[in-house]
Amino acid sequence: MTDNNSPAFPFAFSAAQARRRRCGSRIALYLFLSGAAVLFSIPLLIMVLTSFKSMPEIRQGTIFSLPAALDLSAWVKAWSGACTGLACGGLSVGFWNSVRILVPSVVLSILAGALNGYALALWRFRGAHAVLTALMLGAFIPYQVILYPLVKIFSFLHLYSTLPGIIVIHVVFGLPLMTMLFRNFYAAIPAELVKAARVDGAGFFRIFFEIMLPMSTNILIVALILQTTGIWNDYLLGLIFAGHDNQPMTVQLNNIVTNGTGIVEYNVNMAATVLTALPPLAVYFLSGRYFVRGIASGAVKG
Amino acid sequence: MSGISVQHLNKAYASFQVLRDIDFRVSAGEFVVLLGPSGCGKSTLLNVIAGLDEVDSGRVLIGDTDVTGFEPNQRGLAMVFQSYALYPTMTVRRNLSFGLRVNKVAKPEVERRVAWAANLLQLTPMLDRLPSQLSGGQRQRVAIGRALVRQVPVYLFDEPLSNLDARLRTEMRVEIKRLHQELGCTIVYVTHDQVEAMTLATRIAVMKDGKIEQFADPATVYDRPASLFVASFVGSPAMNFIEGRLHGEAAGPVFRSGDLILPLEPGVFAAPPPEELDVVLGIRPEDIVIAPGAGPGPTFSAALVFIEPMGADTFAWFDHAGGRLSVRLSPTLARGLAGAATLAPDLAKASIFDAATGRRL
Repeated sequence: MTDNNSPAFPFAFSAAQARRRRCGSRIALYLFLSGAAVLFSIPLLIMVLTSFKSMPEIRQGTIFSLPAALDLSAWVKAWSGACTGLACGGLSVGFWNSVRILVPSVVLSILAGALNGYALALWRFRGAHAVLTALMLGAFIPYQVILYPLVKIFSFLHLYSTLPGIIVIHVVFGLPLMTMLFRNFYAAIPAELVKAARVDGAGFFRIFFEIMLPMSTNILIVALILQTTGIWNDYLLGLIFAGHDNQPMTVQLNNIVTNGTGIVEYNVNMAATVLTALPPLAVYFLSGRYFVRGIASGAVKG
Repeated sequence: MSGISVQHLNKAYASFQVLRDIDFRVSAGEFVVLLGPSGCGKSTLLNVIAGLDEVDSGRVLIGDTDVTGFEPNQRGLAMVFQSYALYPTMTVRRNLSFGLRVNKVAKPEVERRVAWAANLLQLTPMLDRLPSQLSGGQRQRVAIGRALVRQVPVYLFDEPLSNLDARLRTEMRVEIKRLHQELGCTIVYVTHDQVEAMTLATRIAVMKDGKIEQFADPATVYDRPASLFVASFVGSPAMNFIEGRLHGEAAGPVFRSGDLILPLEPGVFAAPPPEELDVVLGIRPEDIVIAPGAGPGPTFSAALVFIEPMGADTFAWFDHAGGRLSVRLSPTLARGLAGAATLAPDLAKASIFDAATGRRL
């Protein structure tokens, strides 16, 4: 509709009408979006505000008011001095535990998922369909159901309450989703690429590492975000399988917040919670652009 | 230099028989084209020769070695794919050298061969570009170059030109023919384009439903097609067919269709023809001429339906007893044509097929 005066389109809107309509729906859209943004940011705002206040200030009950002075002591205490039971080392212990669990778990689960997906999508081996179906089932079984047998198995293998144990758990539970993600991505890649590489003499792993993996940047970043968020935010598995010495940050946060003795230090609790939530947030902000691109590229083309 | 020998190949996907007792031999240095409509099994056959697909029974020999159970890279061959299948994250240079690096060829030798192939295919200025930065024709040349650097005795091409536009296709066709003559290698080339087959091949294997219908040099395939299918598939427009009956008479065999009576020359038959048989007579558009008057041979008249000017030639379509006949004419001759014309078929070049089996008599 480039020519608005054209009589060829008698039932078309005039330009002014169209602009008014577009403008109206725009306003509604922005109203809704900003409403939603406010709704979601209020709890975050209260948390951050409270964490900067001193305890006497908090007891006044003015939760929406700005802190009188920027008091960082609650953050310091949350990081290095808050007590969980008898130990008073703060969240930093849990933070480093979480990092020790996260890095190998993310790397191994993505690698295993990518390799699985590549094998399932591009090497039509006998029983590939059955393997895929089994993995799909795995993705839908709530893991609470199999916790007890898993504990028995892990204690039999002497992996229970160890760092390798919790890493294995995360890799195994991450496998269905990672495999599916990479399988769908690799399924869109022309099979002739693998054929060409085979004629050139490359084997299964060489094709994977030299041809497929370099093509997978976008989907790797999607997997990285999904796994980092999932593993960092995990509470149940860490509580059960990590053991006392490897408790992740989330478990420690719970212990700090629900510490029964003494007064409830809201500012410390808030600071501790924000600290625990920061790493996944950072991952989102640093790679959000790739995340969208990766999801789109996986859905539309190879 | 090594030839290829394919012996009694059978392959089925579930209940669908893709290859039926395929058996043929390619001599060293030959350019064999596998020609057929889509779904005839020609690409599967090529994949089987390459070792990318397994067979249910039969053997493949390259040179004197039985390679049936071998991996593709153990067979001493290279392949060019329809979708080019270039490695998207590697530069042209690394695409060309990948196969050599995998096979642990010494570095100076790799560089020498890449430079040679790039020079041969005019790829030198774009060695450091990625495939996504190349045009279709350039990508195709890289795909061919990737096969050439391997310097193997056997090259396989799987419809390499079907993604190119008409002009580039003609250019690349000439290029491939030149490469074959320069390198003297053995080539098996799959296509559904009969022009590619006619121009490139030293021999054509025409395939249908997983079987080879005819395996012969292009002239024989064109002039003496072994079956109705080959006759209709090769040539554009297709060969004209007239259904009728064969009668053995004292002067020799005669073809009758309605009131059309054509005495046949014994030379068109491979074996002495039977006395009586339902047959189909096939004749190429260029083997019919418009007779100004009564010529020496048999003639018949037909009504002109329409005229198709193609540039160098013009095809005139006639109606004969409900069927269409095409005649190749010079454009000047076609201009004077109107209404009906007297047609004189060159019966020495006719093909007679058994109507029941479709085989050539």
